[in-house]
Amino acid sequence: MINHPRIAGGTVEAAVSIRDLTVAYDRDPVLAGVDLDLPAGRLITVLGPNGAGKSTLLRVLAGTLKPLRGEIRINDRPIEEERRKSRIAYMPQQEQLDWDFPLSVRDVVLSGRYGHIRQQGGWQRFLPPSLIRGDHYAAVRRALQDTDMLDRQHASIDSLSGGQRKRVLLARALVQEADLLLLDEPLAGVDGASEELIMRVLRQARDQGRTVLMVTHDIMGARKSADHVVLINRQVVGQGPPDAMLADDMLARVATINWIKPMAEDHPVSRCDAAETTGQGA
Amino acid sequence: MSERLYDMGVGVVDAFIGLMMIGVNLLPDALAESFQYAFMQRALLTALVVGGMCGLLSSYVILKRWSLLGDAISHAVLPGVAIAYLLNIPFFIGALVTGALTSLGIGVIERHTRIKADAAMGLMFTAAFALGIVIISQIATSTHLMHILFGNVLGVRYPALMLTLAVGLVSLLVVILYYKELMLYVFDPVQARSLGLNTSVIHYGLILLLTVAIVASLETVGIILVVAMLITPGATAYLLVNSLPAMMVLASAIGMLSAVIGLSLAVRLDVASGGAIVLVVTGFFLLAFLFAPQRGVIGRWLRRQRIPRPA
Repeated sequence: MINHPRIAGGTVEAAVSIRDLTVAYDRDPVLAGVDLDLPAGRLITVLGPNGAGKSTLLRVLAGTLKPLRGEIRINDRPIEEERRKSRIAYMPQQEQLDWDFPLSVRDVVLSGRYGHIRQQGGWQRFLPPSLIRGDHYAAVRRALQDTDMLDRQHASIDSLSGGQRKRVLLARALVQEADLLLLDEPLAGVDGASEELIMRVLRQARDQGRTVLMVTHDIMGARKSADHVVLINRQVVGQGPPDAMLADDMLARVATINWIKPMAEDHPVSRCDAAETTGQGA
Repeated sequence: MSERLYDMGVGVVDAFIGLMMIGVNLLPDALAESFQYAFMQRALLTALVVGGMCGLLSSYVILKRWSLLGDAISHAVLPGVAIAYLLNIPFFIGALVTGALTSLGIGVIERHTRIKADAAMGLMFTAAFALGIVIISQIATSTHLMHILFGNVLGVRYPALMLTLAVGLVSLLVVILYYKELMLYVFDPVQARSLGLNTSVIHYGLILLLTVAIVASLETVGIILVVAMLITPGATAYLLVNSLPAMMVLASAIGMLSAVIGLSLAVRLDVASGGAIVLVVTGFFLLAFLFAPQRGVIGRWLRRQRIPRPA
C-alpha cells in the first residue's frame, strides 16, 4: 500500500466523485447513471471492452463532452473550477492531433502552462510565448527532462517517432503540475523502453501525491502497474485492488454485463464533436 | 457617422498613406510612378491592408482546415450586401449578419443531423449565394454585382478604406494578444477545453474575425477571390517555415507583396485587379512548391538522389 499524506485514518479522500453521470451520443447511453468515487494519490486504471465508455468518461472529465446529466466534483470542488485553475491535465491519444503543425517540442510542452499564465492575470497574460517570464520555462525544462525529451526540445514535432510523440504529450500534461492527470491509452503503440519510461514518470507523479487516471484495455499492463482498478461497461462493474478486479470471474462479468448490443465504435469522435457545445466541426 | 469622427478617420487614413508613400518612394521610379495619383494611393493602401490581414488569418485557415468554411462565408456575404443595399444601411452590417447566420446554420445542420461539415457548408453557402443573386437581379445594375463579385479596388473611397484599416488593425491586435489561446485552440481544442478555456468563444471569435476580414476585402478582390487570399499565402508559408509565428509573419508578407505587385500589374496591363493579385499570390505558391528547401518538390528529389544505394 502506498503511503500517502491524504490517506488519513484509513479513509481515503475522493479525488474524483461522480454522481449519476449519463452520457449519450445518439440513442443508447454510453454511460448510464454512473456513480463513482476514486481515491486520491493513486495510479488508477480504468478497464473495459470496446465501447464500454472508457474514453467517453475521460472526455467528460477533460470537459470536451457535455453529459446528459450528472455531477462531477474533483477534490470536492466543482470540476469547472478545477479546470480553470489548471488542476486537471489531459493526455490525448496522439491520433487526435495534427503532427504536421508548425510547432517545436518545447512550444507544445509550454502550452501546458498557458492556463497558469492566464491566471497570473494582468497584461502579462497577453504576451507571446517568447516573452514569457517567470518559472514557466523552468517547469518545461523539468518536464522535458523527466520524459527524456530535453535534447529534442527544439525539434519540430513532425520529426518525432510514435513513442516520442507520446512522451511530448506526457510532458505537456506533467508541466501543468496538476492534481489529476487523465491519460487516454498512454501506452498504446509504444515500444518497451518508452513504456517503461512512461510508467516510471506516472509512478513518480503518484508518489508526489497526484491522482493518475488512465484508460486502457491492456489487462496485463494494469495487473503490473495499477494501484486501483475500475472496471466499467456503461456502468461501474467493480473497483478495487488489481488482484481482485482482474480475476477471471470479474473480467468475464465486465465483458458480458449490460451487454445490450455492441457499440459500433470505441471513439465516436465525430459524434463527440456533435454533442459538444462548441460546434467545432463548423 | 458624425462628421468629426469622419474627419478624424480621413486624417488617420491620410497618415497611413503618407507613411506608405515614404516606402513607395524608395522603389524604382518605374514602379513608383503609377502611385502618384490619390486614387492609386488609396487602392494601394487598401490592397496592402487586405493582403496583410488575409495573409495573417490564412495561417489559421490552413492549419484548422477551414478553407471550405472561408469559401462558405465569403459567398454567404452576398445576400447581406444586397439586402443592405435594399434597406440603405451600410453594406458591412448586412454582410456581417448573413455571414454569421450562415456559419451558425452550418453548425446547426452538422450538430442535429448526420450530414458532415463539408456537405453542410456546401449546402448553406450555395443557398445563401443563390438568394443574393436573386435579390441583386431585382435591384441593381450588373456593374454593381460585378464590383461585389470581383472587387473594384481602384474605386475605393475613404469610408471603405477606413473600415478596411480598422478591421486590419483589430485583427492584428487580436492575433497578437490572443496568440496563445488561438494556437492552443487550433492545435488541440480538447487541451484548450481541459485548461478551462471557453472554446465556444474562441471558435466563434475566430469565425467572426474571418467574416469581418472577408467583408473588409470585398472591394479589393471581391467575394469570389477573397478565399484565395485566405488560403494561398498561408499554404505558401506552410511549405517554407516550421514555426507558427514565422508562418504567420511570412504569410502576411506574401499577402502584402502579392497585393502590391498584383495592383501594379493590373494598372500597367489594364486587367482586373482582384484577378491579378490572386494570380501573383498563386505564383508565389508555385515557387514555394517547386523550390522550398525542405518541402519543395525539387529539394526533396535532390535529397532522395543523395541517399546512397546499398552496395
